Amino acid sequence: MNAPFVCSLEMPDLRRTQMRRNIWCEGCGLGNMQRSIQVALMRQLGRRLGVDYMDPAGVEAIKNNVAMVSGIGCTSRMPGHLDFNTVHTTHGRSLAFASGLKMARPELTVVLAAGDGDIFAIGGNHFIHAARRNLDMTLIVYDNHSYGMTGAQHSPTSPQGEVGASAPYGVFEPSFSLIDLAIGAGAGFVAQGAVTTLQEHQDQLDELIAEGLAHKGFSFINVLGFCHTGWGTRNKRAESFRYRQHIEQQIASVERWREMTAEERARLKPLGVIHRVARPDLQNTPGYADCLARSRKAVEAGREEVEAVSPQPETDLRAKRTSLRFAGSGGQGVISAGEIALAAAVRAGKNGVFMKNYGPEARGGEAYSDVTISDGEIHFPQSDRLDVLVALNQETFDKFRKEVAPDGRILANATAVRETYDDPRVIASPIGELLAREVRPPKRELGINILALALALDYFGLMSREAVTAAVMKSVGKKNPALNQKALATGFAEADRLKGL
Amino acid sequence: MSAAAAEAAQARRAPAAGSAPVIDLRRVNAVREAIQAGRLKQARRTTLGGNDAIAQAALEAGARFFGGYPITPSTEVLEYAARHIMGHGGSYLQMEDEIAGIAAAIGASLGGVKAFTATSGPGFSLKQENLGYACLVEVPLVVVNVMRGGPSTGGPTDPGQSDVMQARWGTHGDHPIVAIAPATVQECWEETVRAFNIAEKYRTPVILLPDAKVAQMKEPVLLPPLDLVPVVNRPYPSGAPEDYEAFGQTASGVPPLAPFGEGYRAHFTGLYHNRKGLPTKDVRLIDQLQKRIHAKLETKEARADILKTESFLAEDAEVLVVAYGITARAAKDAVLEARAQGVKAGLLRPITLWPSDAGAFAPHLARAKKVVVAELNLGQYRLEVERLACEAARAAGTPPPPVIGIHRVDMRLIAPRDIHQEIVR
Ligand code: SF4
Repeated sequence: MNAPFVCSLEMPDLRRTQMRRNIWCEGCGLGNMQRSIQVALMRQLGRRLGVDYMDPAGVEAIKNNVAMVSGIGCTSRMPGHLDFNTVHTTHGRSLAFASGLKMARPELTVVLAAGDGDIFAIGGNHFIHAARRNLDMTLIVYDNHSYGMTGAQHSPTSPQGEVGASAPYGVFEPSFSLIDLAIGAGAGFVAQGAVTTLQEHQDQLDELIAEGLAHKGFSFINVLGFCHTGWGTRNKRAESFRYRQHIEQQIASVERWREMTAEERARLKPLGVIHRVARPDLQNTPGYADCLARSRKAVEAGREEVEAVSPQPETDLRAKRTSLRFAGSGGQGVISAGEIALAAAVRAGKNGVFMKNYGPEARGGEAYSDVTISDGEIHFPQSDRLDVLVALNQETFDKFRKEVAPDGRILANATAVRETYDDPRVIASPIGELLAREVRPPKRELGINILALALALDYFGLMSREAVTAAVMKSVGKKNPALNQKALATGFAEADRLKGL
Repeated sequence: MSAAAAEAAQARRAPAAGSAPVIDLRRVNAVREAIQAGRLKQARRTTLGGNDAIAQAALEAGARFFGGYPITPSTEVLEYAARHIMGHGGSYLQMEDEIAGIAAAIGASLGGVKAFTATSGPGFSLKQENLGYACLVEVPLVVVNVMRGGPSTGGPTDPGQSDVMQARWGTHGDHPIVAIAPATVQECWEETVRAFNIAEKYRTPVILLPDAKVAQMKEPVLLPPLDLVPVVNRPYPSGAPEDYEAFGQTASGVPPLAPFGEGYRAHFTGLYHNRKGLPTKDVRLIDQLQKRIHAKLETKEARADILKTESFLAEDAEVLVVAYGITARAAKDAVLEARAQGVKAGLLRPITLWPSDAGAFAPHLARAKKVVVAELNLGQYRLEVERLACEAARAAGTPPPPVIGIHRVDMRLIAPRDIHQEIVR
């Protein structure tokens, strides 16, 4: 019914019993394409899975191994007909669905059937990236240079000048070459077949699809097809046979085509395997294997230890909260200071919330982070009034001084904060000088955050030295223990000096 | 078989967990409750960012595929997956766009692997068509949408709660949806595990809806040992492959879902379909399908699994505050302050925003003299609270209480003071 041709009738039928009558118009070339896909799958998968497709168990194995994915349109109704694991997705997105499926289940044979509008207009982006990404999948496109299902509107492959429902006076947009696009985007296997009146083209299509399936990586087979009931009726090719003949006049074997003049080449379309390069498919590249190994290590390293826990007295809902802000210039590490303060608080058995601050003010020269700590519950983690501000430079001192509570305190890095406006809340400490003199970092201000953190948490009596030291040595201290030990010691010593004043 | 698929297959063969898991995620503060009740004796103590807690919980709930696209303020979820998911035997792809991110996750889920994606407002808009596909095709899936301001690009780095209605009605057509709004980092972990369990058990997409503040903050958490994480897997068919109905009618309303490749072949289409998944124009079947995908989330068991509301000092509240996410944390302080002054104030915090928890709300709405809804939008959930208040009043034969909104869309948070003022006004 689909095609007026006899094609490999002795082979088993892979269609669903409930779907033996397809939804397509009589004479549509989609029937030919569907038949070729079946033949190719049996040949190729039979070989790969080591089963005999003439044996019912072999057919069963093939059907179970195939996942067919499609988008929207006439072609995309194909998976409904076929007795595989089949997914009829949304318009244009079949390659994206299939990519996730293939990543999750590499052992499945993933085949896609799509129309030109589906895959090259609405789905164009996914096509480019599927070709680039090179997952081991096979895409077979029925290129009827129109939207068949919605009624003969023009598509990205419609010939200029022909008439469509949405191009009533002729298509005025240029079309593009799918073959060039596929090669440019990195597809490793690119072939073109055609649906004509000739058995040789049907046989060739079987073979091209089988070769595409055999190719490891992304393979693309474009099938020059037609829509006689839609585009055909508007362009004097309303009979299937006539349209098939029309296609016959436009094709040449790729070997012949390569010998032709540029002028002839522009008029004719090559048939056969046009481009083939072997490269490992995405899941079999050395890079992928390396990522796998490194991710395993990261998971191992990240395993959290289990500790004993026991029922606790209910936490105080209205316990006092202390809010701290670490502020300075971008490179001074005030964000990690806040994170370490939170870790120290938790070590000290307290509750805490840390918030890094995005926004234009953080993107530019200044950065800050807020930490709220408490012995009880912390509901709203932001305070109207800061209890402690640690300002490492003049800009942040000026900016955030107004946000400090009347009875709050400001630890100012006197090395950089020259003007304190006689603010009685200010504790001045030459943090920058101390760093240079005592810690002597290899890079200019490395460790200033740790020095300031140790100084602030100790001087204001917020946390024990042990908790602060442990939190530092478990984080940044891992990388640079000597420097951070020195920064901590300098901070604590400065706290002692200030307390003695 | 891929590692992730083999693990999924193993999980299906594992003996069914005992009837009462140590941690009952239907309860508020589930982990803490298990510790207080003496059921949980060991835990992992750490500090996490909200987004990291979500991604970590996803992997611990069994997610083995992530498909996504970078977008502030949800990108840490993608980055965490990129670091860890392969090490767990799974895989991920940073796709070419937001649409492809959710599409890839749906594809992986149909393959039999638990999958998720993450995004924020504008990306969530792009994902809506495929979200509807997942609803109709009944694909287990978790979509994390970290809420920022909007419409359009808005304030990418600042908190908002502006996608509450998008979560409910973003995709076209009548469809059921589950949306969950955590308020703490601990809850980011607990609610993500619960989201996966609901998605798998009921074959439905679940949206996790943290606001940017909760997703970006870092807090201490207590997590159960890995073997005590309560994990639920999707129903697997029990009959012969030829009898498999991927969209059949079952006692629970949830049909089984077999991974590809195991002999249970089926068709999955966004067209209206029959019990085998094949397209149909039979009006009776179409009606059945659409009503079943709603009904499966409305059974007694489903409601117990899905609905979740925290009642905070609300038992005798005359002024009832309704808030969720970061705003609920401000509301708690406001309620405590009002109580200290002798005002009978309380908070209802919907953790599951959709479907709304009418049963939990009704008695409080019937008692309340005033209802205050605080949220970082111009009144999205307030509409639902007004609807519930009218319903409760009609049932009780009383006039509905006034519902007052506190709304903010200037990228700053609603402070406890703002809510307290309204409580005592
Ligand atoms: S509308 Fe055109 S493309 Fe579609 S089935 Fe009919 S002939 Fe084929």
